[in-house]
Amino acid sequence: MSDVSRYAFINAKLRARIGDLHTHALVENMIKAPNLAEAIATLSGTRHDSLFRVYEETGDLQMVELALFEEEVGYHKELLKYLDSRTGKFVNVLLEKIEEANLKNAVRLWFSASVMKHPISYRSAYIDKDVIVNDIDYTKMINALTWDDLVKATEGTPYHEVYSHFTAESISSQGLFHIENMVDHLWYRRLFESFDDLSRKDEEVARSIYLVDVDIKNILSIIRYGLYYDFKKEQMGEIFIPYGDVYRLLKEDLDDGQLEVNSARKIIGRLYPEAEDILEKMDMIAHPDISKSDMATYTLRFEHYLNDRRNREFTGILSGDPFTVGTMLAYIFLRKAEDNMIKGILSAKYYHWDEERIRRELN
Amino acid sequence: MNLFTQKMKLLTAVVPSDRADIVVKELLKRGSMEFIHVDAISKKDVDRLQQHRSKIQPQTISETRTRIESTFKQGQYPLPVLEAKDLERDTRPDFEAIRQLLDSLSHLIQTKRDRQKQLSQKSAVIEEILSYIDRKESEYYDLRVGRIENRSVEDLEARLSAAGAYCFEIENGIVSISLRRDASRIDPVMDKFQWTECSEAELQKRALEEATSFLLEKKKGLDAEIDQVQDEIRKAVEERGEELSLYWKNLRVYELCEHVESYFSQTKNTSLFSGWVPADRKAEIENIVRSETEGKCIIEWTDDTAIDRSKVPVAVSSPKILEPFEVIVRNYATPEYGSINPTPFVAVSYMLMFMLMFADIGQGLVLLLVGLIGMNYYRKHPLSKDGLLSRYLCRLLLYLGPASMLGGLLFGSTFGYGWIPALWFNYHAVVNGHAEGLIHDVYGILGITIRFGILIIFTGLILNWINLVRKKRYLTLIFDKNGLMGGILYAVGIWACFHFVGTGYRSFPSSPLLAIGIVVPMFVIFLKGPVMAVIHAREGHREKLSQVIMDTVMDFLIDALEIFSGFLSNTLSFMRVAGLGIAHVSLMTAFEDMSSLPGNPVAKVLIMVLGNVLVIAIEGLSAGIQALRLNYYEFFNRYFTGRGIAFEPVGLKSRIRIDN
Repeated sequence: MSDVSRYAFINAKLRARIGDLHTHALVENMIKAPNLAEAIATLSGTRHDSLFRVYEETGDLQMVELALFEEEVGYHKELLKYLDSRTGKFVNVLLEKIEEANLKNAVRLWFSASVMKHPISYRSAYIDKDVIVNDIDYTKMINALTWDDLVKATEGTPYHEVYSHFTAESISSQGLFHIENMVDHLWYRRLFESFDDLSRKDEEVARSIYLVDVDIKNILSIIRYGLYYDFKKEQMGEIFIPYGDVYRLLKEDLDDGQLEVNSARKIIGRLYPEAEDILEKMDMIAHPDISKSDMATYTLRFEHYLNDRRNREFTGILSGDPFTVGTMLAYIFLRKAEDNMIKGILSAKYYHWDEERIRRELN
Repeated sequence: MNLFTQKMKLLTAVVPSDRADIVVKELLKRGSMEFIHVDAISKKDVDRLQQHRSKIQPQTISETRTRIESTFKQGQYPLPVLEAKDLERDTRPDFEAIRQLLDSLSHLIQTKRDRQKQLSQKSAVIEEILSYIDRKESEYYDLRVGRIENRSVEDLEARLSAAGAYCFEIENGIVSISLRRDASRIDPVMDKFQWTECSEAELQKRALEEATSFLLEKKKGLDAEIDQVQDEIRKAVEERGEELSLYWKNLRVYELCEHVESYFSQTKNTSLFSGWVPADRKAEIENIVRSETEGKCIIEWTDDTAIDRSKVPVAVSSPKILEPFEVIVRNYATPEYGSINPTPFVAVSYMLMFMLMFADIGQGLVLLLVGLIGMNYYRKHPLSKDGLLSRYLCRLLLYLGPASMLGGLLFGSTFGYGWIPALWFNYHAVVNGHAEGLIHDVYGILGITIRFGILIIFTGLILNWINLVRKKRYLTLIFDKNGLMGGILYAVGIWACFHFVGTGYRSFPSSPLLAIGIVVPMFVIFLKGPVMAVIHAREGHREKLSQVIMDTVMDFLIDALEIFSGFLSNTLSFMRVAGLGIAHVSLMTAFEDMSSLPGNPVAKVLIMVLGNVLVIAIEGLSAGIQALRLNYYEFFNRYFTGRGIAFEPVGLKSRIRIDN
């Protein structure tokens, strides 16, 4: 099958949908709404009308978020219908990323009930219990009385190898951070493996996007855990996703046992010179009295910079070769960005943030 | 109905500023003027004029109106419709009062939603337990039957409820049901109440049934409460509905007036405005301006000829009966100013094409009935959203149904049967190979559709020639591939092809007219380049000779290619009409054959009903799409440039926002 016949239909369909994404007026009205109920009402009559209907029936923001999540699963599955098995396998891995989020939520719920002894009664309703990619028994997982019962619920799925690696004791003492980190690693491994099935052109596009994606994730890890939470280098070594330029350059330092946060900062500055200014402000040697709140502000600003960069990259794909997997990746990214924007504003309204704060956090 | 786009006039008026508001409102009532900025017409003296300044921030008006609309949506209250009498109320919107009302309603709704959330969370827990009971997954819930010492059941119920469990009294005991995962929080409560488990098997068995009914009843109660909350919200909005409607109308009038006045320019005492009006409404608009200003105004009309025609907005007026076909034209593009209105031609060609592809009295009747039922439904439910069968589709079916029925009469088909004799020829007999007469095989049908295509293409060419004459583009009329030379070549081509087919694919006409009919028009088309070069040179844009020769040769080659391949492919494209018609008959024949296999009359009827339903759904859709495609690509390509700008008068129903 040629690239043209593979992508002609789906690209036309997705480009039309991309044109319909992210209406400025909608976001503005949501931000200006005085409370959550009115913010959700602005979605009525738009592409997101179903979210308003869910809120109208339940009055529950988390049910709205579940509806958004199900929509996300829905459009990925719709894409799969239009693809051959070669590209379909790759999109299936992308869908596993969403499944991974659902899985993490289910495990967090179990952790909350079984380890932290917090009531979770109705919260089980916020988990999507349908099969996304792998046949995971979420009901069994949430209701598991022991860690081993929970691990059993993942049998026959790629996640089993990760979950069976941990014991009830290690989970109780260390929490879920490590297990979630390993699930992330598993996904990236499966993602990079799935590139082998793509055509050469598709592989190039996908690799270029996800290598930057990994870089961004690793940089954020350095900032969050290295700068903000002061993690040790061994811990940092575990967190890094083992792909991309940032990892490659940092690996030598990691192997030598010399990873310094400020030398990492210089490496990032070299790879992403546009962000040098923000990174300089985060330099703890040059600014030893930098406060935690300033650090949080700069971290947020840096995250926005990286997000903008990613946004530009995906938008750029749309002006390139139309007969690659790029259009589909751009659509997924842009749609996800819109969903996150809506989710972000609604959460902000739930916590009664004022208009100015919402704008500050969004931009 | 105008055969051509409506003639327009440009009005420029100067009115006293203190009368400007009244003039604006009267013009809004009529809704027949498209305003333009005065500086778009005359650059002179523009500096001396001041632009209109809004008294209120446009954004404030739009945002407040949007908030009211959002409140209406939350209370499922219908959006008001602006009427002429709403223009009479001349009050500046009281934004503070509106804000206070909206804030109080918004706060009330949010409080109710929060309550609704608590109820639906409780309902979710019950639903989860019920689902486990239903699926017999007893490992996920705890059902206990027992007794307590020295404490009341109400106390136990209250404490268990806080821990996420439910309990109720039955004869000889108390039943408690909860999710097993909550056991760590429920057990201490049970211990505190000195719960003693009851081991009677009969009681245990009955407890599950009782618990299920209890939970179902509890859920029903919660769901009713949730509905009640929604009802309370609806009532809260309804109570203030009229007040909100008045505010909304007030804001909308203000918004529209602001929009119109944003086109005004002002001196100290006068307001100057300008806009396009259909020529047949010239007197009406002039009278309004004169009477509302008590004659203290200066009005100047500019004829459309004085302005570049590409800047004149285009209004097409078709009778209401042709509205569904006007939508087809509008979806394609806006015709050029002064050109032919394509709507009536599309109406005829679309229905004819559909008739030829989907000819059946019975199936046409079904389409007509579906259209009528759909229209009736939407009339009764004006607020309901368009479904798969949208309002537009239902309206279109009112035309396509009868067209199909007429086709059925001509070709003798009723639900795939020949119950009524054909007025022209029996399509089924022709396709199935047992027809006699002039049309006796599928080639005959193909011939009809090709002739039909030629008729459509020639109609398109003639319409194009009329448009070009009206636009005074005589050179294009002569040289263009869709001009006279293109027409002659097409006619000669048809003559040659029919002769070729007529002689059994052996020879072309031997008459010297064939050579003349090809060479002369081609030579004229070749001359297009040099003629255009001379005209450009006279206008002062002299081109190099080599450039002219190069352009002429290239243009000629491309034009020749487009004429020969384009006309041929466009004509043959109409064979799809025959293809769809033949497929329609073949499918019905197949179902007829299948229905005779079981030998059971009920099965026969069922198969034919199913066959008809499938054919109506699939073939009806295909015929509709193909007819649209033929109109857009083979018919419109000939005469419809789509370079016009649509006329958008501002009226009470305009969907204008002033904040963007």
